[in-house]
This record gives sequence, structure tokens and C-alpha cells, in this order.
Amino acid sequence: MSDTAIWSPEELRAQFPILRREVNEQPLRYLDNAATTFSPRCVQEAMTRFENHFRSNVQRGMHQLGVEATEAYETARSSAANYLNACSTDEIVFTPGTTFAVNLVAHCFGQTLHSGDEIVVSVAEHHSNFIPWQRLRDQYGIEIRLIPVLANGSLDLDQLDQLITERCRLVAVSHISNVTGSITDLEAITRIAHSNNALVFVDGAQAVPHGPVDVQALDVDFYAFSAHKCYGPTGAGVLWARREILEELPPFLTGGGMIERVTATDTRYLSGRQRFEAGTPPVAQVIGLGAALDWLMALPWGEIRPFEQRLASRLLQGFSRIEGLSLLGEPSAEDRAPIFSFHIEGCHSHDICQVLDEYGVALRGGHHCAQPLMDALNLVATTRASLAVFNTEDDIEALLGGLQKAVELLR
Amino acid sequence: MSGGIYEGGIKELAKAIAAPKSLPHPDRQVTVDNPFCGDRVDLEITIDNGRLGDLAQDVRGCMLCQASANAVAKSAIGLSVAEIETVSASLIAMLKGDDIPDWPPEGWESLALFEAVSRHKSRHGCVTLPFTALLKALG
Repeated sequence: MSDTAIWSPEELRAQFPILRREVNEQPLRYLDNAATTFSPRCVQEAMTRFENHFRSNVQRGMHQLGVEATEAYETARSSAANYLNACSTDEIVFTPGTTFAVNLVAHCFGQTLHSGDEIVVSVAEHHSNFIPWQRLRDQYGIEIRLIPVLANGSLDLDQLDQLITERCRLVAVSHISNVTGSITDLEAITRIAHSNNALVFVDGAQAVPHGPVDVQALDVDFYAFSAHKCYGPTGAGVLWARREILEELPPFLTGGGMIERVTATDTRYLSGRQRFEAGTPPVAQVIGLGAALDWLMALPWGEIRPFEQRLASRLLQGFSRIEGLSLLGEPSAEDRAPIFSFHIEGCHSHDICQVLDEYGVALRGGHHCAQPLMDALNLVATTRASLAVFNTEDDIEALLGGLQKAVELLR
Repeated sequence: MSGGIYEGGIKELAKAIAAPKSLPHPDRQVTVDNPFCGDRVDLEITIDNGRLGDLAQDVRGCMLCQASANAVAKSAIGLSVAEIETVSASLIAMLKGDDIPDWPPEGWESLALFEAVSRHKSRHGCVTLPFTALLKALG
């Protein structure tokens, strides 16, 4: 499909075999896409093709299967570079996922830090983009400075120029919050960070599923995401970093596939991104990731985005009619991603999710791996509904109807 | 719907606050979190001749956790560690679907309300968290 193709939600849904199943004798209404979303048939077929036709190791096989596997693996790298508008495939490091990517950067970049250096992190980050920086603080004696949040959970950037100073070496933020759906003003952050010679790391896990990203336009330094949140398989992801940064960083894991020469006494590593993919990578998953990104790239976003916004508007309208419901994030559909966390007075999120599951509606309840944010907002847990490109009005109506019933049952 | 979990008195048990939030002179204090969901039990107890003397708790959790905490507050005072361990083990076995003789334990009839939770494995931790907190405090 291209941007000008005739598009229909039904045609799109037909590409996802899992959407045909029922849960508790109800049609599946899957609204937990921010945790993990489904794969279209083309992604599954790409991985099956690898398993059935050229399963072998990459980069070092001299036989035909090895050549074909390497070609498919490197094609996925091109797909990732294309989706992110990276300058080169040399800026794409395959990882097992976002968590791994953050830990990779924290470990490698951390070795360049000294006591007194500062890292700025938002209080709204997923634990994956929070704990690795806390560990650096404990290891290297650096300071962590926190970007606070507003009452709705969106970042409060008012004091940014006081938080990011010449002592700051790196700012770590998410592109889109996995809790509030708020879109981070990366332009404001990169401007101040770069003026202080600090780098900017972006957790893009929740942004990549909602359309192509332009890392050059964003002017960030690192960008990471996971395949399983963007219609690909589990166990694969991407770390994008500027080529010159990758050239400077020491290796993370060591082993096969990342060396130039090993002697009995010493090792010389490959340069750039090659030194960050030690060992046999998750080849099938990376090929699936590439297929997912190609599929996403070809979607008619010009039609999908207004459709998503109509669903979001209907959802927000329905929320406003539920007594005691408080929504996190921006109140208008246009100013946010379709990730909706809410709290209903007198109803715990786990009980809400339990009741909704009986109606076939899959939601997420809990702290969403963002306990510092929950603490800042004085919340224990929220209920989250997160949309994907295959969701329809029927899913929204099932959610709203189920919520009314849950409130009646639980209060 | 809701698999019967919220029917048959769970809601009433959850709302019937059975313990204060703090004690003037606790012997032990513990905080236990459910890392899966963030639910938390802050517990204070006194110990009297090897038995649970008094109990106070602040529960930030779902309806099942609240109800279980109230069942503990109503029935555990005066019991020994071994007796509470036995009740906890019976509850866990019931949730796993094991056939338990003399279920529910004498004095703990309200635990029968949790039988419907048995088929919802992801919620077992909600029910057992208050017992985990109490046994940690007694241990």
C-alpha cells in the first residue's frame, strides 16, 4: 500500500490472523498494543521463509544459505535505516530490544563519565530508560537530574535550561510516553542539550509504531526501539546512533562477530556498529523486524492518522461520560499518541482489566514500569488502553461499554 | 460475567475495613510489594507470647488484595506463626486447584470467597500478598 492507495480497516485487519480469535466467547478487542502488538502475515511469512529456506548463521557462512541469510539480515538493516531516515546502515545496531539498547549505551557511554558529570532523565521514563542511568550514578558518582511532570503526567520543560547545564553529558527521554501518550518536545531538549555539548538518547519504543521517524530532523544522538511493539517479533530491536558516536564508544558484549583480530594476548575490534553485535544475532527476528518496518513504511499514513484520531476522539468523548474517570496526558486527540492511561475513582485498574477481559477487551493495568511517574502523580496504578493501526470503532465501543459495566460492578 | 470473582461478597469484604492503618507501639513493621502490579501492603504487628497480638495495615491494592487483607485482619489475631503458615499454604493450594480437606480453614470462612480466583492465575498474587506480608513480619 502507498499513501494514495485505497485503504480500509477491514483489509488491514485481514492481514492479522490472530484478530480472528475469540476471548471468553467474545470477539478479541486488543487494546494492549503499547505492551506488545500483533504481527501481520507478511512478517510471519518472512520469518518462516528464513526457517524453511535459508536458516543459517550470518556474516561468516561461505555456503549459499549463509549468503542468503546474510543478505536478508542486511536488507533488514537497510529497512531500519530507511524507516528512521538514518544517514547510513552503519548507524543501525540490531539489539534484542529497547531495554538492551539503553543498557548498551549506559554501559559504553558510562565509561566516559566522571564524578560530577550529570545525566538528565525525565521522571516519566519507563524503568528501562531509568534504572540503567541510576546504576551509572552508583558506579561513577555522577548526578541524576530529573525533568519533572505536570499534573497530567506530561513533561514540565519550563526549567529545562536550569536542569541541563554544562555539567550534563547526556539527556535520556522517551519520544512518546508509554503511560500518558504525551509526545516529548525533543526540539526543545536537543537545542539546550547540544548547546551544553550533551548528547540526547531517545527511547522511541512507543513512537516507531505510529509512523516513520526522521532521526536527522529530530537532531538526536541515540534512538532505540523494539520490534514487538511495531508489528514485528519479540527478541529484536534497533539502536540507532550517529556514526561518529559509535566509532568512539567501547564495545559492550565481546565474542564472535565483532573482532578484527584476536591473538593469544590481545584483541582488535571491528569499527563502528560492527563491534556491537557480538555472537549469533536473532536472525529470524531481525528479518521479521525488517519486514515489519517495510510494511509500516508502506502504510497510507495520510489516511490512517485521521482515522486513528477519530477513534481517539470518540474514546475521549466516552471517557468524559464516565463518572470519576481521570485521564493522564493531553486532553485532545490531536496533541497525543493513542495511548490512554486513566484512573477511575473507587475502581482499581486490575479489577477493571479483569472485568474487561470477560468482554474480550485486553487492557493493561498497573504501574506500566513507570513507578517514579506513579509516585510523582500519587497514583498506585492506572488502566491503559493503547491503539494500533488495526483497531476500529467496534473496539472503542466495546471498551467504553465494558468500562460502564465494570464501574457498576466494582463500585 | 467477571468469572464470579466480584460476586458473592468480595466487594463487601474489601470495603469492610478490619484493621487500623497503624499501631502505637508495633513490634515489627514490613512493607511488601507485588512487583507485577505495584500493589503494596504496609503492615505493623505486635507479638504476644509467640502469637500475633495485634495488626495494622495500609493496603494500596486491588479489590482482591483489600479483601484478603481484611480476611487476615479479622482472623489472624491470636494465631501462632505455624497456624498462619498452615492457612496460607491451604489458600495457595486452593488457588492452584488442589483438593484441600477441611476447606476453608476453621475461623477463615471468608477465604471461600476467593475460590473463583483459582482459574485466574494472574490474580493469585493479589490474594496472597497480605499473607506474604504477615508471614514476613512474623518471620
